[in-house]
Amino acid sequence: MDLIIQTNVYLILVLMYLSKNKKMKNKHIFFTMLIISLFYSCEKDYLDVVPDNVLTLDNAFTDEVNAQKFLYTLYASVPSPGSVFNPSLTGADETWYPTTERFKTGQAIAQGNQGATNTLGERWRGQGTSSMYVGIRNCNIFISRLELGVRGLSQQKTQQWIAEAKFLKAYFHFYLARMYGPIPISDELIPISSATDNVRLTRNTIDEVFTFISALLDEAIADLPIFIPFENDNLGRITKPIAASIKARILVTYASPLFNGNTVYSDFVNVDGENFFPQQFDASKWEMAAIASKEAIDICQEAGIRLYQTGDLDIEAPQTDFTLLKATLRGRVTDRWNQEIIWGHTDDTGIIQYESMPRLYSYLNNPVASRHCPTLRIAEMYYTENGVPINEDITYDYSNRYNVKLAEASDKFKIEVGQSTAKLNFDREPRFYADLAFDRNSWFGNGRTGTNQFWNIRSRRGEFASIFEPSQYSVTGYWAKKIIHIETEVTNGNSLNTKRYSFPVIRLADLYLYYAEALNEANGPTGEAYNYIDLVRERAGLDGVLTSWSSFSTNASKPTTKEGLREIIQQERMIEMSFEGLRFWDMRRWKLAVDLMNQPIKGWNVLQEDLVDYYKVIDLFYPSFSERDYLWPVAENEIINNPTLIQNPGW
Amino acid sequence: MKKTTYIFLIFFLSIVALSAQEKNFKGTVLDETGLPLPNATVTIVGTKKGASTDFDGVFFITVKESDVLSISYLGYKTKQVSVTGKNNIKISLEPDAAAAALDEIVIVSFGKQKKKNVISSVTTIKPSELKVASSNLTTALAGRVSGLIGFQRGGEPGQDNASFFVRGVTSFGANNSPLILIDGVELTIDDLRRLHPDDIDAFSILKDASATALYGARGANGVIFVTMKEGKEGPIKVSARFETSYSMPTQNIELADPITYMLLGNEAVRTRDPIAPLPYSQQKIENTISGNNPELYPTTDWYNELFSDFAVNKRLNFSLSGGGSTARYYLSVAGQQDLGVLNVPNESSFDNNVNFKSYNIRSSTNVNLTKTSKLKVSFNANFEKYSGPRQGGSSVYNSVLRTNPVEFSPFYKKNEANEFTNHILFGNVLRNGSLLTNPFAEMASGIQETSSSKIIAQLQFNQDLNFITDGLNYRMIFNTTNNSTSRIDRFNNPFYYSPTLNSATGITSLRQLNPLTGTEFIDFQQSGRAISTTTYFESNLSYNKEIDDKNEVSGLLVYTLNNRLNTLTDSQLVDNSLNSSELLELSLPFRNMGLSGRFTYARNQKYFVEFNFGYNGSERFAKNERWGFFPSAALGWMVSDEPFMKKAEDVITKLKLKASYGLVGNDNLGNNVDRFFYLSVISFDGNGYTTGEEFNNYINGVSISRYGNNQITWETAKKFNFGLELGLFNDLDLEVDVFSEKRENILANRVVPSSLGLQSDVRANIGAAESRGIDATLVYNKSLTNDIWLQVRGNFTYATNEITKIEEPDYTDTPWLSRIGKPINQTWGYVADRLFVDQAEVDNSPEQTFGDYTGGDIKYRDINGDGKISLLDQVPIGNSTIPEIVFGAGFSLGIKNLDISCFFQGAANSTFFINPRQTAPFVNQQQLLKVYADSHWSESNRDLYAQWPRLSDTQINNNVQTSTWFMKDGAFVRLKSAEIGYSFPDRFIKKSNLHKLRVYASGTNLFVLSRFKLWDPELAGNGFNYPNQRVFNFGINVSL
Repeated sequence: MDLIIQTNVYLILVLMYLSKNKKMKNKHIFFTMLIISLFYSCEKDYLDVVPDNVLTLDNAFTDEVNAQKFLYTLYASVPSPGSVFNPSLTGADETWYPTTERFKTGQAIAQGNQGATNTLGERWRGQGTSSMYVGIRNCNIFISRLELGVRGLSQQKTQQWIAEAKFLKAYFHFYLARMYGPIPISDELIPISSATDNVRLTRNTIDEVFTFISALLDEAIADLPIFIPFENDNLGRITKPIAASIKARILVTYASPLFNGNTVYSDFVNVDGENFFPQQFDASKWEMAAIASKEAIDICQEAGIRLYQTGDLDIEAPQTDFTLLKATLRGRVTDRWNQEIIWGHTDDTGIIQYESMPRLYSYLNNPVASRHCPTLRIAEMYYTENGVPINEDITYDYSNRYNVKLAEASDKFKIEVGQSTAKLNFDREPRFYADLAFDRNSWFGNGRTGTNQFWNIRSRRGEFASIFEPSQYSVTGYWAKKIIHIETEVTNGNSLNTKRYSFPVIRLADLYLYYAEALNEANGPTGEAYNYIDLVRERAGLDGVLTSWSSFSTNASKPTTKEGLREIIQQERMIEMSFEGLRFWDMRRWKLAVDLMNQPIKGWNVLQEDLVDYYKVIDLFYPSFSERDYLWPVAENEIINNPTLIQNPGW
Repeated sequence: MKKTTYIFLIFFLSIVALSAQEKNFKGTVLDETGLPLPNATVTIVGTKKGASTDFDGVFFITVKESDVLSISYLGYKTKQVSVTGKNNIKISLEPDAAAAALDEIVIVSFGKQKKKNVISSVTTIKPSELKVASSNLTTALAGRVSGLIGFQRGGEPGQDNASFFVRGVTSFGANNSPLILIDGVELTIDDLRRLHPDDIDAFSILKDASATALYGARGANGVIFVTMKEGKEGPIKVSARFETSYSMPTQNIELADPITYMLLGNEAVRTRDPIAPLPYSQQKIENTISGNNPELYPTTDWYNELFSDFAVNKRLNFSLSGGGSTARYYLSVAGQQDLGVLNVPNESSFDNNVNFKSYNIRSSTNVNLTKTSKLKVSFNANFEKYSGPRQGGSSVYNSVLRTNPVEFSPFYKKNEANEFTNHILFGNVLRNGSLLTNPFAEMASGIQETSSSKIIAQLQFNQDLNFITDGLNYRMIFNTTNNSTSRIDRFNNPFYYSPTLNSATGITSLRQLNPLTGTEFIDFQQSGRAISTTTYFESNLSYNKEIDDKNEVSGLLVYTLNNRLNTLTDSQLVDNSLNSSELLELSLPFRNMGLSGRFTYARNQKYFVEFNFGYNGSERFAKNERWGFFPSAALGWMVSDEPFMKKAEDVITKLKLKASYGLVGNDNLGNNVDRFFYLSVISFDGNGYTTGEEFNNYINGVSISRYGNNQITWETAKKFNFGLELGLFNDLDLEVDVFSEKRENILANRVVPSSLGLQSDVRANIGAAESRGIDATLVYNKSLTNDIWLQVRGNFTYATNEITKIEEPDYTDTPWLSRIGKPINQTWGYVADRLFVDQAEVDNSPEQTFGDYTGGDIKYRDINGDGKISLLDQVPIGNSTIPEIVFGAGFSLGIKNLDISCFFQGAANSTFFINPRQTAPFVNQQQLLKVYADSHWSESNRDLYAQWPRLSDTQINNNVQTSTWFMKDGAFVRLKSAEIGYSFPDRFIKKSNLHKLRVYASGTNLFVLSRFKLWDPELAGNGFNYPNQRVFNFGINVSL
């Protein structure tokens, strides 16, 4: 505040002059000097209020610590697979919610409320980490800055970090391509002051996009480590197995019917008249997918990644073979960083568990929402205990499956003995009991894991697990037990303590089934294909495909044809990967969504008190899905801002 | 208020004691219409003794029996009267057109000019016209001053500032508000609100380039210039005013009754989903009608639970002034208390009705240090104390309209089980796992107390520099302003209960809903602490010289420095949306400096030329863009003084033409957080990621919230003004200004596709806008007889604007989307034709892309004919949301001691939109407006033009789009104020030893005419705000 002091000095001078120097002769000169000096008293840098060294983008690359922060910024854009806002968890026929929740993103998509002006769950626009393009730009900034070198960052780390950034850049592009199909590739860092024409990126074709992604991944795979150095701190970062496995997923997607010779899009062309979607089916894409899958499997093996097995679960386990298997199957997703998980996301899983957890006894208040609930279709999708579909099993009373039946002692670890439930819930494969919960189902966990210590769910009207209030109940009569950690528990009936786990983005069983699928599509049924399906079935306590079908199926020869095996692989996949956010994408790439998403969503009549009334099947919703729904609409605003973009067909 | 009363009494007694010693003479000076003339000069002929009249035209002077008084006032013929044998006198002055033109002084930037010489566009109004029955001066401006577009969008005490723009909105940049200068120092709209009309000496609006160019850096949006009173030589003068007023909402929103609410609530659910469970069972409805068990089946009139009918406000203003030839003083004390209309429950531990108190002490002392140098020291201290509900009065009002009337009671009576509970049993229910809002509980469970103080100290030093050359004068101002506020909340967390019926026993018991989170003890929270300091320094050299009879010149050179420093407020410090770089920017001082000048030349008092410039610097821009030069020029011609006008002299008493053109700037381009555009803002606290076996390694990311651009600079305005001043028959005055403006370099967002991956908008000086309009003032003064006078005033402002340049997407195919050529405050929306008849019509109509819709929902027009309704079908709808026309007209009539005045004010050419999300019934428990209950689409009554579409208990996105369906005309005319006063006759006053006594009653916002009936149209789209107030006011004004 030099100014104030200066001014005060002047004032004092003035007053002194007035009071004492009345007789001074040269007062005129004094005054003139004073006034002139006042006008010139301005400090030159008076307006320079901003100090030097304020934070700018350059500071992010001055040393290793800050560069690492920028690296973690890239990771922040990786969409969380276990988030309730992930439309692939709630946006299909896999789960259904009370009507009060119908406006949530995924639920609204499932009901067919997607629109170009109110795009739901989009990843294109947005200004935060939710926009893939923000992530991609950050990758571009990071790569270009690291290539210049960061003081103190070793050559080896620089190389590894660049590889991580390249992987993420490829993954973000893939994430968009899976949603929007042909997308603009953003490979270069475009300066913000660029002229309008340069910032208006145009859409690339499917072939260009996937070729670009695949090449970028290859660059990344070369420089990524097999193991994460310093796992304690760094687990969750990208490794070679992750990149290779994601590459397998990407190439399988690229080879799938939606993207490979999909003639629905014959009129969907760019300004040059070139088709965005390749119009010729190309079988070699499946071969490439198979090769990539096998490479990934080999890299995973090198990294010690294997299917999660009985004995891996590190809790005081229930001591029968069946309960142990059941607990193991629950652990294959929720046991954090387990042997099978190739890429686990580190987002907190508290909310999805809160949404999914049933009430196990009378709670004082409402610690669980209990509404992320599998539909009847999902319950029927699981195999019988003989490992074949319920409508094919010669021993299974398919037509009477909605009748009720009394549980006997032999059902002890599945259904509450002496109580009745639908026949559908009897005699199913172990994964049915590991992944789902239902009325009269037994529940291990929540503090009870011993042989005779478990909870039994009771969910008919008025019972503790039934409707608590209109927004918080299972509308179908099932719960997604699979994604609830066995140690997650409600304490004292009023607070939920969730055990956090690393929600898998991709795990080994997933990769095995990609490989089997690619092999079958490329070469038809082969021993190698059966082998990889059977590895997954075996872990689930089931016999191999050929054995199971020949012994129990009405369609014994099904696994021997390409089409039959395709169906088997698809069903196996949807069972094994249920509730992990893959069915949503799989039914799209297989082009099955038009069929599946036009059938009514069903559940038990859960608001009934009476046993027989409860087990009546009711229609919850009649979804509708048309060809255009296979791809997200590009937000209309974006097209207005960038007229060189072409809207997806039908939107 | 008691304290202030005592102060008043003490002064009263001392004055009586003083006055008993000499012959006191009292006079009242009136103008030709009988209106009091404040600041008229009274001198005793042959002496230097004198006095001047107060606000009410009254003066007091001690005289000898033989004295003759000379009474003069600018623009009036001077009168001389003898005091012999008289103790008081009433003098009417007659206007002197020639003298008026010659001598009347107008406040212009950094100085004063003779009215005749003023050729820039300046509107000055008498402070007495700003008197309204409100403690907020800003609410008085709309319609009173030509050139000002104003309106008031809410009426909560302390939060009821009106919005106003000089000559309308001319920029779509961040800041459109005029510069507010009080005694030459830049202050805020809140400081303007606090001024008391009684303390104001002059109130001017500077409008064109010539008038504002000296404020180059800040003047583009116009300037409001207020000069406060200072002491005048003469005996002590005391004046006091006391007012009590009753205020109530101008209009309340009508709601449907609870039974209708339930019936239509059921319809809302079933009409959308025939199998959905009903929210209100038949049994509940029947039981509610019968009213047998109000605890279980409540009907709550939330409005009446929370609000009383009217509030009482009080205001006291007391001033004294006087002085001798070496020192003069002015002192005023004012206090006021505004209460809100909230009902405070007896059970509540807080008195949380809105209670807004404000005290103001102002003093100004002028000292003649030597013959040629003068010192003025003035202090102004303002203290405000607000106490009220934590969420604020507006929010309480709002929550009434968002709370279900049949869900729960505000609170339950204590029953046996709760006999010894030490808290109120507030009602509530659980929905979706959480409690709903009980506005009564929210209001009653806590209180906020905000206090603020503002201290302004100003030193002004004047030095006559005649000894260097005649007409040279030097002035220096040093001002410091200190503002501090703090807020403390005290509250407890209410306990909520819900009644449950045990069907077996038939007994209703209360279930506690939040035993864990409710508290009985009082907690507190401190927030909103903020201190700001402003220092202002001005050095001003001026020169005025009449060289000879024909040539008159003046010059002015001003150097100013302005520095403002704000502490970060508590809320800013805990605001997660602000990163550390932004906080750093907030902590840096705000600075301006500049050198400005004015040179004028007048020839023969007929031809005038004026040049102005401002050379200003602002701290906001990069070094190379920091300084701006803003020149302007003006010409004037007094046509009526030309020989060829001699013949018309009796009719046309004055005719002056003037024109100005120039450049003015605006550096206030963004908000305070967003100031240094040349710097990028990044944060190391951005979203990061977790890694680690135990999820133990969270590392923050880097986020970018601003991309630096060192090219960003001033917004500039090129202003043109053409004006005409016309006087007819000595009693009619007309001033008309026509203006146009080109605003350039407006800071605006660039259009960048998202695929660029930017995290924040990119901005540049790429916008331009034009505005034009006309403003006019008409005054008619007439003395009908000696006892009856009439004054009629009217003013009119029309300002329209259009965007001429803005970066936007390629709209060649959809030209209606372009903002170019459209007003700045234009709204885009869909054209709603009517409601759909049924689903069949929906199926056969263009697809509407906003989500689910069916018969009874709004049908929009497919503008571009592509078979679907999407963003491309939005067209400009309605007028600007800011009125383009604001006008006011009123009259004052005096009949002997009685005076009556009346003032109408209105606005036109504006459009507003009812917020359909806010008014959507049943959605989130929202209330049902009565108009919607009476007129909505239903299966049984397919009214295709009903007020509200098919009901729903959830938000139907299709129906809440901005569209013509909810568009309303914002035009209105209101009786803004009316007043009737009675001045007690002299003989009565003499007996009571007073000098003047006037009582009056007035009303504000008495009625309104508008096509819109749901709520006060001036609130426009903010209908759920705290309503504007109708005020009945009673006052007494005493002078001693």
